[in-house]
Amino acid sequence: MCALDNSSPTLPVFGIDRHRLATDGAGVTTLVGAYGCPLQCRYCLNPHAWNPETLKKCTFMTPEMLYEQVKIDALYFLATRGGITFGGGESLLHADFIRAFRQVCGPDWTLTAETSLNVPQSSLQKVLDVLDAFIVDIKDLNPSIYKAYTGKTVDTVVENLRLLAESFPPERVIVRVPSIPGHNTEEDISSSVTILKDMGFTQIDTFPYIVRKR
Amino acid sequence: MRGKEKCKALKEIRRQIAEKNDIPFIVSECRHKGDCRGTCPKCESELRYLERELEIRQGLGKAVAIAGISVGVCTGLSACAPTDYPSGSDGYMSEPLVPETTTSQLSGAVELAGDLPAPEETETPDTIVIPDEVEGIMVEPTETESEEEPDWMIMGDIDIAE
Repeated sequence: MCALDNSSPTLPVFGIDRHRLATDGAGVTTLVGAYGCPLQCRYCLNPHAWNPETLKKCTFMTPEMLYEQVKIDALYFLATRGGITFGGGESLLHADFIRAFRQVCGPDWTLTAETSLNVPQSSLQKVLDVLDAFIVDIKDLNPSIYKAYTGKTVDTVVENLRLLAESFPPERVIVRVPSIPGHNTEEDISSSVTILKDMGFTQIDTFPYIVRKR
Repeated sequence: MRGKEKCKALKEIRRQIAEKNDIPFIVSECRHKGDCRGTCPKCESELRYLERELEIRQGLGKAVAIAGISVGVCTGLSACAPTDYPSGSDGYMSEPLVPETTTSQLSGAVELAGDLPAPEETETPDTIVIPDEVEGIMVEPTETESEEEPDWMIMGDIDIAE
């Protein structure tokens, strides 16, 4: 698209969706979809976020480039306490970019990350002081269910949930616990919710996964 | 949220910004055909108009009031929707919601978080277009071509760029 500044992190953006109202966080938000995810979940809403073919179609943006794209809705953001929600894919794979974007956009926009938290803890630590909210989809905290559904272990997620609970205001974290068809039961969901409450989370959202015909 | 519901919610946000800052603002019906992304020329020109008026007021040293509009009020969303903050009694944003465990009212219905549709159906990230400046307070409602839209929106779901 244009020459990139090597000193600035870039984000492989596969989509930007404006004017999302109370869907991906408070207020009017713009959802920025970034390529890449450590998981490959069966019911992933955006499987193109980890399809290698997608990467060819991505626009690689610096924080400044993204800001130029999304500032068109700054008035909506300020009026409704909305802002940018980083999704994907796994948004926290791009922690350096999110940090840099906060410097560019300033303190007034609400920045939210949609994440599975299955990322190195160092990535989470990088964004704790620049994000305003997290929306965490934990899948299921039962190790065997998590492994069967995502192909990965849940250990990192649990460690990151603990860090988040200790270092971020709980009212700014929505933890989503899905009903995953063929993978978990109401009892499993209740078990995950109990663990999350014990950790100190207060905004826990149980919901059914929507299975799309692709 | 899609279609006219979204259009009305965005219009209500603009109306409230105007009202709080004594900016003349004529609320007229949008005649955009088809689903709405809030990006038709009329909606965009109204937003740009408000920005200009606010800049003028700031330039004159007047205080401007922008923050404090609740999307929940504008959309009629329930105050216990877990992905939004409840409105205060004055219609403005209150403290963030601290609910008990809830079942999402959004995820299974019209609007779901994170959803961004498939590659072939999307617009590219660089297709955000600021319409030409429109002179005067309001433009007449314009009729534009229908846009194809998915039936519902899910948290995090995003189209891929072509």
